[in-house]
Amino acid sequence: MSEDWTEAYRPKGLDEVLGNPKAVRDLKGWAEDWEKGNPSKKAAVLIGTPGTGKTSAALALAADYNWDVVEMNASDQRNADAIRSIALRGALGETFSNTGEYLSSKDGKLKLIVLDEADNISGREDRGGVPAMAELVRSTKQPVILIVNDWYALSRRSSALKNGTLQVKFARIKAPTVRNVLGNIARDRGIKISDNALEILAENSNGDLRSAIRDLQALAAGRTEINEKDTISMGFREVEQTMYSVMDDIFKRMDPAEARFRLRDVDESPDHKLLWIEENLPHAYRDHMDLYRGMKAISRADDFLSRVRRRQYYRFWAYTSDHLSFSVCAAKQKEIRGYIRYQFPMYLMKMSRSKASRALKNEISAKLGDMAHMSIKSAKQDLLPSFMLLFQRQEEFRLNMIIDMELEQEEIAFLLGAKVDSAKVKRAVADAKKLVNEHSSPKNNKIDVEKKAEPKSAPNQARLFSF
Amino acid sequence: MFHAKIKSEVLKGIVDVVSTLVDEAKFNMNADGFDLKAVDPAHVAMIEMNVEKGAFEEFTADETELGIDLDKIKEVLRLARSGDIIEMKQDEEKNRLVLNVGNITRRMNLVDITGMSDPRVPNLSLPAMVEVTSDELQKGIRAAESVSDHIALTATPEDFEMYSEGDTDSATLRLPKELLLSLECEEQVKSLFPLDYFSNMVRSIPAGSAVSINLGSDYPVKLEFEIADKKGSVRYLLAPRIESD
Repeated sequence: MSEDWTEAYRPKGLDEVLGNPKAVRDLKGWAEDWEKGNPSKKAAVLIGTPGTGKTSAALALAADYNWDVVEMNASDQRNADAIRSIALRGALGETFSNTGEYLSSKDGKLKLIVLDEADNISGREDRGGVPAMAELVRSTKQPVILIVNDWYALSRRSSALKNGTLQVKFARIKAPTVRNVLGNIARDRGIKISDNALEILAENSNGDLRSAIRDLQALAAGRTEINEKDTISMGFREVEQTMYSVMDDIFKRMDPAEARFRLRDVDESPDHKLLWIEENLPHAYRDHMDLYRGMKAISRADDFLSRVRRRQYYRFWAYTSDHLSFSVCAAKQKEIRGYIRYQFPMYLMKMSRSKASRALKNEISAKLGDMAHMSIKSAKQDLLPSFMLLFQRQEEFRLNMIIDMELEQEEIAFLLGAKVDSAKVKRAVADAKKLVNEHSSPKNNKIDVEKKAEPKSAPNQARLFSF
Repeated sequence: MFHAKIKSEVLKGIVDVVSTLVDEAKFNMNADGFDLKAVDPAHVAMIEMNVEKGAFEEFTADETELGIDLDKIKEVLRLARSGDIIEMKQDEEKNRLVLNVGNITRRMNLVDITGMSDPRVPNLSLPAMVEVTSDELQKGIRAAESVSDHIALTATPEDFEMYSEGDTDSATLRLPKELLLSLECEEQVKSLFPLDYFSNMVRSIPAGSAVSINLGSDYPVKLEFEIADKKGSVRYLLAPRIESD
């Protein structure tokens, strides 16, 4: 089976792009503006999780308006140079199409530049990719579409990208729509598929139409009939991957045994599972007695987690997991209906965002602990708050500490609560440097000698507390 | 089937001209030689090339299409000295191209050609025709390069001009009719082009050869010249920059 059904059944025009009518309308409006020659935003960003029709919409748009397409996708080598030499070059000039036609924008014949998975460009090896994209958005003479999964990651790095683009959001595709599409494809291919099997495939897709079509194609290999039984092998693969997919089993349905079974297959550590359940329980259980019993189950799960830690007895993990799934599921009195918007645990999100500043705090605490003969932990807890206060208010203290602790610019910024490249931080660094230079003649040498002569214990301790 | 022997410098000339626009290309072989058409990935330029079998030392081929990765050919060329004969042979069974340079044998997979387009060369009406040596063009480009990233080509009934304007500086190369090999121009035409592409194209033209430039107003430019000791011909097409309004 060489043919890829996700390609074969790609929508031919915007009307065939399913599930996101608002996004399609916005895109159409943007394209109309380009056709008239006065787009308010020269580039559009299509934002959404995989398989929601972003690339399809971009290509369908080009087909509808007869635009030529220059597409850069993840399989191409993409870095700042490639963006400049292909996308930007194409964006500034008139067009020769693949079939060898000359297309002039003067005759309204445009070329659509598509950067697929644009948020992946900003990775490590593609340094400079974001500025190159910003330049593309700013100076293009042709319509540009950026396709991203994680817009936040990209836009926070460039306000030019944020302000220069029309943002169009693509939501996950609803299960009934996915079911319809799969049904139509199956009919087209002469495959009999049971309603239940369709239902399962659609549910498992989690709004990702592309993976649903892939699943169908995989199932259909060498078969003319698909029923519920055949889908079982597919279903689990999907479930194993994400916490999102077990949420409904725990919070909505009334089958604790199934919930327990499903959660066990999720590849996450028990403490992360706990955070997930804890984050979403209050969104799901509106009845206060349900919520009470649910929280109680979580608290029991937490007990076992700490027992694992204290006794290093990992078999207790099983009880953690069972409380989280079975007990939480059984805590409600009846099935919960309706859509619940599950959240990624706030704690994990905040921890990952604060990773850099926490690391900085630890480094400073380590230096501080070194000087004050304390552990990092107690330096952080007991000393750092007052140290920061002094550091912010006393200039002399600040400069001495910068020199003695050999504080880096980032660390100074952290202690001052200012941005790394702010004037305040720069001044502190410069002043400290000046102070070092003033002492760097013979006098300073003497100080150095004195320092070395001191016993190794308690270096600088006196100084630290002399204020 | 394809089997040929070619001087390394001739092969290098061919590869340089094509790789200005694309990394991979489809070579259409036939009994009399080969031709090639390609559009660059940014869709702003095209190349059409014909090479007769006389450019090769030996040449036998059936009608066949070979997808070739030009970077790999360049690697082989680095192993060869000027004057070396490179033997090229299609291994149909394994879908490979085998190159021999001296005692070195390099085998490379052919590139899948199913995705490669077969562009037709568009019929453009370009009213002005300027013939000039490639050396003069080179000069104009060197003058422009430090000034701006684009270059304007102008032809009038009296002269041909390459003009480049940056934020503060500008550079002009003006060639009056006497310094041109020929000039056919009824009224002034002018178009603006990306300098980097134009200069790469000009650089790949063999030194000392005559180039004919076909030009219109806000319209593509066509560069025509011969390679491989007049046994091959190349036509480059470059789309103009869209000027700000």
